[in-house]
Amino acid sequence: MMNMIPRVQKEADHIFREIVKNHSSRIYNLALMKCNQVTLAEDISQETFIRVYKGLQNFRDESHIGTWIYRIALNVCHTMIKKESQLSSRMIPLEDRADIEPEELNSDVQDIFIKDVEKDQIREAVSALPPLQSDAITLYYLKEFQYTEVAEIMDIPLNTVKSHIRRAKANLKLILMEVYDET
Amino acid sequence: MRPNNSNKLDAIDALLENSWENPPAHFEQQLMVIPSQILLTQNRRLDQISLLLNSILMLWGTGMVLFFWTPLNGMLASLSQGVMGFSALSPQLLMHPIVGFIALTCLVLGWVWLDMEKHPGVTKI
Repeated sequence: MMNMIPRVQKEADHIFREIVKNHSSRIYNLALMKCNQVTLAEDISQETFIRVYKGLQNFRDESHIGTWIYRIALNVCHTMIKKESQLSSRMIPLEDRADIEPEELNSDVQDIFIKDVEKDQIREAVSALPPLQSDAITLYYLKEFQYTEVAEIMDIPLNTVKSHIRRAKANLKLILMEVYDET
Repeated sequence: MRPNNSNKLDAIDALLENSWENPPAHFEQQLMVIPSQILLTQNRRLDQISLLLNSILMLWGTGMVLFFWTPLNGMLASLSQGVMGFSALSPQLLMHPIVGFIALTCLVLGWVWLDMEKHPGVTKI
């Protein structure tokens, strides 16, 4: 029994190292997209991996480990961004413009202008989206998950995820056009 | 990987694709040492000493309460008799509005706290 503990510990450490190798960049980019601050994104990533490590020894459902990690990451993002209370002061006021369909904005001329926007402004725009849209588009952009997995992570129906992503893109286009007009 | 229905990338897709940032140097190494840091924190000798000292303190406290129970009991009883009009050990205490208010506040705060602490990622473990 005494030898069991170090072995389980060793296995957990090995799995943890694999998780860090495979997911650290994505978790960092998820956090950066959500908060648009390098230091906070690093803190969020660190806190996420601490929680992952602490939960790893009791985690059994290995087929869902990916969704489990990103669910933790999203929760840590929400908690830490709220704690920092910086997001609200930086946010561009935006209503959820649910009445606008993406197709209405899908002109090639707008697309050409939007391409000139800086990375920082993109992240600023994503963090200004309504939380569910921001979560959905960020997870989608990580290129790790199918829609069904995004739905599982966010714990919402599949069609709602698709709708959030569609609306997020439409809203992003609007925000970025405004950013382009200002510059 | 992302589903194939995004075969026609629009401007937003392209922007999101290009907004990828590489983590700072040594970021991965910082994360890799998390297990050893957690173990170090858990096994700190200071924590074990602190636990021992606290246990002694609690035992001493319990002993003191037991030793002085009779005068303490009398003091509490007379105090509550003076403030509320009945003994603190009486079942009437449960019906007192202040006690009810305190219990309700604790209950509501407990709910709020539980709700705040609820963590889907962690509850699934």
